[in-house]
Amino acid sequence: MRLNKERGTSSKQSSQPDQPNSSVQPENAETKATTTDSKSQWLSAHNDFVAGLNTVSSCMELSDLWGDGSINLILADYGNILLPKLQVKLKVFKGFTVAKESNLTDLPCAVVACFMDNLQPRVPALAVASGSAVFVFKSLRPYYKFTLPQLEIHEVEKEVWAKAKEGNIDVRAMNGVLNELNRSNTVPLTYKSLMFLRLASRDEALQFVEAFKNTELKRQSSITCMKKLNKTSADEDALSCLVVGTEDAKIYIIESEAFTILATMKCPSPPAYLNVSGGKRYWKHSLPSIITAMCLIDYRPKAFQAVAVALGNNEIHLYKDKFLVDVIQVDDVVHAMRFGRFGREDGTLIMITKNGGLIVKILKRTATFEDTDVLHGPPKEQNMKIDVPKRTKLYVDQTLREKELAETMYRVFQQDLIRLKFLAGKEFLKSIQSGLTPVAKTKTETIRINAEIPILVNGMEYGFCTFVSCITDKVISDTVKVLVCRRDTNTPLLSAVINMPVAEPILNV
Amino acid sequence: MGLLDSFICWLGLKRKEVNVIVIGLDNSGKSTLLNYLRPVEAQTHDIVPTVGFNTENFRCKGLSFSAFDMSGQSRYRPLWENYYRKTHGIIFVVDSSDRPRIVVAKDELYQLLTHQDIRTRNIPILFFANKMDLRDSLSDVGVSSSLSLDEIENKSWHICSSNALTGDGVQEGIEWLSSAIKASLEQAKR
Repeated sequence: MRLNKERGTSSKQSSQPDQPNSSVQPENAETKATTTDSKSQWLSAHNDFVAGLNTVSSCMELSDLWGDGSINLILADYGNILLPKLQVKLKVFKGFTVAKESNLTDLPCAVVACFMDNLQPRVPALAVASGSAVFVFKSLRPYYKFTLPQLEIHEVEKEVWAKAKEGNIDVRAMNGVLNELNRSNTVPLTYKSLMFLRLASRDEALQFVEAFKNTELKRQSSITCMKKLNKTSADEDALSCLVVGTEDAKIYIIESEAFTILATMKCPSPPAYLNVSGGKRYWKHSLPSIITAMCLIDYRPKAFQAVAVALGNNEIHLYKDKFLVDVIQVDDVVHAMRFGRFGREDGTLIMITKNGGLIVKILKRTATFEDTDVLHGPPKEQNMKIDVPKRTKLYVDQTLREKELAETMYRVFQQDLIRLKFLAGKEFLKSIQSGLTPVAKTKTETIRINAEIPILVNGMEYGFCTFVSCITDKVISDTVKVLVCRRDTNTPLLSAVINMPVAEPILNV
Repeated sequence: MGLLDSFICWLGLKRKEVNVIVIGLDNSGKSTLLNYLRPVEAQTHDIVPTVGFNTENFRCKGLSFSAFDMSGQSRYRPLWENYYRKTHGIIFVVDSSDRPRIVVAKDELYQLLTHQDIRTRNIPILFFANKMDLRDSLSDVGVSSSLSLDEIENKSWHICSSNALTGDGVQEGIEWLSSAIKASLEQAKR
């Protein structure tokens, strides 16, 4: 027995590596990662995990700021936003080093480089949207500030503040009127009125009115997103307009030469991202982790377009149409990324990680992405035509019959099914009544036979032994039938057949 | 005829003609480098990005060079391999101040070394770590390590830092290439 056991365990050990064991899998994954690394479509150009950058994708821009043919990376670094004092900086990278930086007064929501004139050399201006204004920089020097137009103010609100200005301050009445206005929800109140309504005590409110009664009443929205739109031609260095989305659900198209609003559009709710076209869902993917950033990959030299999706599990998935064509492993969660021309290289993917790292990857010239992906999306075979055999006469007859006699066929099937169920039930009842099963159930007690050779172990509460004597000297085996009966009845409660071991022959010494 | 030819060569009357291919990323200074090798009166001052390729001829150490100045732009890089078969030597120019793209240069070098026309031949490769005058440029040792040149097997190679505008280091490199090509030709003869 022991030998057997050992053999058993040893054979188990030897068979272990073949099994897809959970302890083996990570190793496999690792080797896979290293092998794909050399075959990766990307060259790792730069890895700086302590760059200390904190930004979002919309505040990253690639543009030739000095017109020298080498594209710079411009980003608005939020700094450590936990610090009480904001330290927002506009940083310009030449290569991987900060070439220039300038301070910003407020948190920006978008940075866009666009051409505002036809002068040579083509040097773009930088538009930084923050709060309710767009700050325009030329050669990184402040050049123009465009402020969003004033919004309509309710006449009653104007009157209330005009009265206050005249020195006729009745805080309670003001509170009542403004509250009414706020609830009626026709035209939103100005920030000043909203602040006033928030004040709890009468004295505070009085102080507030005294302090601010002379400031002009104005209501302005804030910018939520900004992009550029080429005005006349599709060239990269063509004149462009700024498209600005605001908190009050409007989109302004601003002409960038004289900063006039060319068009205004109204959206149903505040836009968060511009560039969205269509609404119809073409396909849907369930991704293994949460999405942390997305960007479009437009690699002109190869006319390759894809969407890069950064995920919470340190991966970046590249989707071309609906196919996953590449997976990039990163060492940290990517929070912002941008693909485009950087320096002199066309296909550069710039990533900013959660911990402020800067990672730059360059697409190989020889990179090819094939959509031979089976795991994601519907398989290719779905679009293939299946070679259907010709309809035989038998098939046609059968279908016709099924059509005509559907009701009868269903009835016959149901009848057969019920009959089968009935028969099975009847047999089961019979076997229970005659006690032929090893498990018996009467109303009062449950008996279970658990027989072991050569001892008969019986029941849970009481057991008894009996002796079985071998009556033959031949090397044969037979069965012993055990019937458990009640004293008062002769039908067995349960029965069991026990296979006896082979009888040992009598040894004559 | 062959005997006569070699006799003339031995006398130095007729120079041996060799082909070299000049490659490297765009803006690394290939055309500028070859411009320096021209006679002074033929040199130009404004170098524009090469389209396709240009050929230049120059002489050094008894060899007459035909240099194919290939365009380094990524869209023209596939052209390079067409010239690998007939070339006797390779000049690989690296912009040592362009740190972001040194990995791209490394990848192109890897493509070159693993190409079927290059892989098995002992073909001398001369590396120019160009633009050594720029402030944040890498040294020749730095370029050599970032391109992992020490991993090159079965080929003789040499790296020298250069400044193609003034010509510093160019002559020295070309001289090395001439002697390396001569050595490889003799080895092939044997």
